Amino acid sequence: MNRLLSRRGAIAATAALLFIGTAACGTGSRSGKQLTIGFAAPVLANSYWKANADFARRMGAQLGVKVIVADAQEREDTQLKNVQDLIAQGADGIVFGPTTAEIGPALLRACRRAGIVCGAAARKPGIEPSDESDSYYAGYVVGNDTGDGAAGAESLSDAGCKKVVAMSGLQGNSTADARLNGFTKKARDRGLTILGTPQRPVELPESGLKATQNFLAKFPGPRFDCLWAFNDGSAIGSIRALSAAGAQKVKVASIDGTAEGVAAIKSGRMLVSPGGEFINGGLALIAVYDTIKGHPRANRAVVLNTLRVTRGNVDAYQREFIDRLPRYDARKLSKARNPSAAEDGLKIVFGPKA
Amino acid sequence: MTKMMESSPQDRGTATDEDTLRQPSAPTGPRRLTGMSRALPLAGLVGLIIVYTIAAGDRFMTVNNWANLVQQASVVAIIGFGLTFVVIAGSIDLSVGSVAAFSGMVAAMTAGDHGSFTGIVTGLAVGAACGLVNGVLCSIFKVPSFIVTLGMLSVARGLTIVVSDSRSEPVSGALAGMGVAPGIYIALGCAFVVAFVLMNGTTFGRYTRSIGGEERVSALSGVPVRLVKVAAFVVSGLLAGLGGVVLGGQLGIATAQAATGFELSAIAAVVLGGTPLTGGIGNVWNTAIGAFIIVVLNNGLVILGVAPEIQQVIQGAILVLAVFVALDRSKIGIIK
Repeated sequence: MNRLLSRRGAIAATAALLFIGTAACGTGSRSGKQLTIGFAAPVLANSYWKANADFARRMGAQLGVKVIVADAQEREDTQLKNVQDLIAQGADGIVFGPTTAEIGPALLRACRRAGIVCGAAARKPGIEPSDESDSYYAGYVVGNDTGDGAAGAESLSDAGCKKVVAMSGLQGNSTADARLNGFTKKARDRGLTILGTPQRPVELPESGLKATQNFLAKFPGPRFDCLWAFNDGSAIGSIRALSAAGAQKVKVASIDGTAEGVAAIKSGRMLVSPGGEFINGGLALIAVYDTIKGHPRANRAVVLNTLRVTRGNVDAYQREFIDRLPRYDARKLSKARNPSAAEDGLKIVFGPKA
Repeated sequence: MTKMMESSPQDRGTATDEDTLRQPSAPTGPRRLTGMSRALPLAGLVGLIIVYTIAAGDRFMTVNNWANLVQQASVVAIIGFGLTFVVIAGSIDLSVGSVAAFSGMVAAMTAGDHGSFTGIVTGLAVGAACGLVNGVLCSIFKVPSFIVTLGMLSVARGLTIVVSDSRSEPVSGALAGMGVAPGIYIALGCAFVVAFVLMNGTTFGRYTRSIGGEERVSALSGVPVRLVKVAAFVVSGLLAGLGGVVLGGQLGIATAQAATGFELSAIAAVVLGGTPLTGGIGNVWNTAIGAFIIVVLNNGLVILGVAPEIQQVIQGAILVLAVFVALDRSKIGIIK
């Protein structure tokens, strides 16, 4: 018993030392007047959010800001706790990518209570900047999900598609819903027939594979000539299933412009994947920085038009957005650092960036 | 083979007579599924197949669709086979999905540098190592399996992100062959045969049931409880690793988010197969049936054009109904 107690004591002491050491390192790295901005990501296991956080770090480094990244692991409660922790750590501002639209107001409330400037990225936080005159709200920078969905329908229609099957993310996920709505509306406008019911939730490669196999069973032949997926992850699984079934002629469209999507476009297995939107976190960080510095942007509701990545521009896109982080200059985009910065400078573009 | 697991002196309880363990003497001895309980999952699966065949046989009962169904069930079944040992031993392993993702990622990364064979072996070793850690913490250090494996769920997923930097890793060569016919069938068949023989043809399998039935009595009877429980977790981790390798092959890429939620699918397969979470009884054959029930149910609902939200309702309801029907009432007193 004594031996067990002493062993437990040793383990507890070691853990305590590690904890204290880690905490000391964390506080020790903070320097006097350097701004600290927290970045509360919904799920860093997702390559989109990893790139988003990396780009935010890059923008922060250019502005001389220390960026602390926290991962909510797709949990609303964890994300609220992360934001509260960042506030407790003394962050001067926070950028968050809401895990869901529903958690957005709670995150903003936490910021307002603490008097911390916050901004949202990737997903609208449920409160429009125009509704809030508080100086704590730097606004949001989000993608045009409806437009991205519509882009897929347009590309498939232009490629001669007639019958299409579709799959989207979790019901209630605002991004998944908006992308599917955009796709559905444009598909109907273009005279595309959507076979069956769009399958949901289909977000990962394995669920894309399974959903496509089930579509192939429901519509043998296959009787559809096109497939639309709401993200590259599920599209990769779909392409795998179509190839295994010898149905490579089925055209695929997706969204996100990830490395996997780019590889599929280059190999000819995917028509289009609107991308580049992952820079929204870094652009939101610039907006938060400007607000902290007393230069809030006039347009606090920024909706980014993504780049429609196709075979024609995939090499340039890969060069500028995949192989390295896009070369934006935060100092030129920031109104606090560059008074002549364009109000509409926060956008996704090829070639020279501000 | 039947003497695979020998007890060590420190693992033994008091008096020991292995023969007594071989007697299926209820209520304290090891028990097997009754004929009725064993038949229910199979009857349920056959019932589903009959319903779908009547409703949409031209699309459901085709060679291509069944080839897909076997492939869809493979990963969950392989992971479920290993999990069955842990559940029968009266514990739980919530980490199998994350361990599968970690193993699949390590296998893909290793295969890229050192070839597919090395990749597969490394992936399996990673899975077994995770299982060993789970088993040691649970059995030797007496931390509840629910907590240990919940922790491993997080640790393994985090390590996957660390080693991959959240980037996907392409899978090719023989490793990719593990995920398509005939490789996936071979992997499934090998996993099933090994798990079946371990469970039904070895002392280890008998001890596992015995521990799940009455751990204290088993210890007093000389069963090396700690060793057997560690081994059960190692088998679970090993097969989760194999599941991760097969999943990578199936998708052509290994991702940090792979197999998210698979622990719940695997647990559902085990429970649908009639293995109660209270342990003591069950079999890998039934877990295979449970995995097929999940994919056949989903496949048929899609073919019939049932709305996705209704599919979720039906799948959840059938899980509860199946457990309600197949529950071993003799153990109701200790179900929590």
